[in-house]
Amino acid sequence: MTGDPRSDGELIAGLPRQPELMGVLYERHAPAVFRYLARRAGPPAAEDLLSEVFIAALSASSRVVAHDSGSALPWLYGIGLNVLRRHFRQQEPAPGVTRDFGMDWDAVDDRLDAWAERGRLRVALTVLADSDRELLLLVGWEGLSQAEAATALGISQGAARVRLHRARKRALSALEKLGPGGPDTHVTTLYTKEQAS
Amino acid sequence: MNPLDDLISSSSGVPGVTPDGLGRGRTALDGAIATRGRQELPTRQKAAAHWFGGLRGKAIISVAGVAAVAAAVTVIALPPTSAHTAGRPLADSSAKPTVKAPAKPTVKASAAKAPAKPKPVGQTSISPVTYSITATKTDVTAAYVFAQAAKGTQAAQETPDGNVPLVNGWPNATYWYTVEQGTSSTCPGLVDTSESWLAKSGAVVAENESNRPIKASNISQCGSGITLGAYPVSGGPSGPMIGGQIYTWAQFAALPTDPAKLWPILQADESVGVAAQKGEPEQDFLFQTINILLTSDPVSPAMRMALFELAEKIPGVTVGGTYTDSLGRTGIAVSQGSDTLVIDTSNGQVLAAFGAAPPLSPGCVRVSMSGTPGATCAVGGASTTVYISAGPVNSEPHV
Repeated sequence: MTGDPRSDGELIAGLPRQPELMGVLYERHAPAVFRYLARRAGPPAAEDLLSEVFIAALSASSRVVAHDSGSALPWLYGIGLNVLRRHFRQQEPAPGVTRDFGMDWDAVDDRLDAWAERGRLRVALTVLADSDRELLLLVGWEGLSQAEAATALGISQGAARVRLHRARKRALSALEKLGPGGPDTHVTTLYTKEQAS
Repeated sequence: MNPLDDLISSSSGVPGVTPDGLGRGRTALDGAIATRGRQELPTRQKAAAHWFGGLRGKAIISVAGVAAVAAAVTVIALPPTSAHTAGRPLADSSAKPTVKAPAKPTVKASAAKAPAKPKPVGQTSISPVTYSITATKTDVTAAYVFAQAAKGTQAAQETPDGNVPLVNGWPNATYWYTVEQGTSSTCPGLVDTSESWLAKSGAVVAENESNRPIKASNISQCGSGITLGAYPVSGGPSGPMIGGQIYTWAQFAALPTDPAKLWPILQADESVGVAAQKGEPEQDFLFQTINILLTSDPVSPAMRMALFELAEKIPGVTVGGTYTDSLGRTGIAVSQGSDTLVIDTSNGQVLAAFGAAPPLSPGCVRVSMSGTPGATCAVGGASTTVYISAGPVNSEPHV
């Protein structure tokens, strides 16, 4: 995308004095940040929110260093999560629909062909606490390492590993209980209960 | 690939950003950059820019590690709210003592006084445990601490209490009961307490989770703080998970307890595989694997000893201070990187885990509900988990 030879870490370090370096980070990472947003909120919303992530990052850049791996992406995903939560909070809630401040489930459903699969994914993810779900998805959807996901969420590597392990176990257990089918009525009931509790 | 990975993988595909969307985003960003360029850089930020321009990555993480370990005194701000509650989970243990109970006469005595008060559904009566780590001069190595823990495990095994007999070296109980309490510096005042009963039949039969209320201003970064409540869980098969496979209690019991044979099995953990692909040293994860197994899974004394023997070989583990908590327990802090485990060497129990995220992490850029970057959040995130109990019980879940 860009021929700038500087690493993400060097660019971040320079941001407080040269905010225009965020433009280089944008050229480098906007496609990945877009996919991050689109996976959770759908492509149309992701396009609207894309610049917000980098603008918020601009405000925060004086207090940040890149992850050891050198990529600014874990940091940008962490900011993206906050932008998403604000986005979901600002949305008008549809009557009778439980709100999820981290996910537009319709957008997720659009990516799965089979109804049963939609229900199963929803069950697997809604038995998890919000932050644990995000951890699981940063690794599963965004392909971050555990250490990078820890950076994105501001927790230690050890805590990330323990939480990810337990989240996977819990989701897997819920899936195994559901069996291969996954009737939608059951899913809806469970989802509503989880959100209401 | 297990069913969960299949589902996540098949739902990850999204179209790329359109050239138009990319361009609009860049325009908006450039506008913000131009606005920002006209503002004078605050002095504080200049200082930060200078400081972090020359000090990045590993160096900062190691600073965090030292800070977490060597902090003279680390104390949860919340004191116990009532006299009886701190020992309440251990009251069960005193009726049906855990493996570690014999070594804890003080705790047992106080727990015995706890009234057997029925717990209201949706509320927990487990008070926050307070603790401290005092920096003490020590000349012991981490390997020595782990070796002592293995010996302590052996000693605890040789004096089994009557209620949970060991059968072929395995605690022959109905449930594996765990109670833990978590706090995080990014969510001050929030204490997550969770109890879990894993049945020998291979399912988590009951869980009880609760959060203490937090300030509304922290909601966006800490969740709602609502009480999740007690709920019986009729979940699917559960138990120890290694390599993406959930083991039954019996399968887990059949694993080799020779460290040399156990290690390759633990290595199969799918998350270790992820780390290896990313070039992160997989051996680092043994430290956390031990934490996971010892604090949540029905680990036999023999396997516990094997894990400690493996831990002796982990490079770069340092020994910190002495841990004491309001349950009357003591242990030694051992650290790797920014993560610390507290181990009671007298019985091989893990008492607590501390993690300090690298400073200046995204924990500091949390956007509040009003949309402004959180100005008050702590620099770097520090999390603590106190393992109040982890052991076999025969008593029925009280959820």
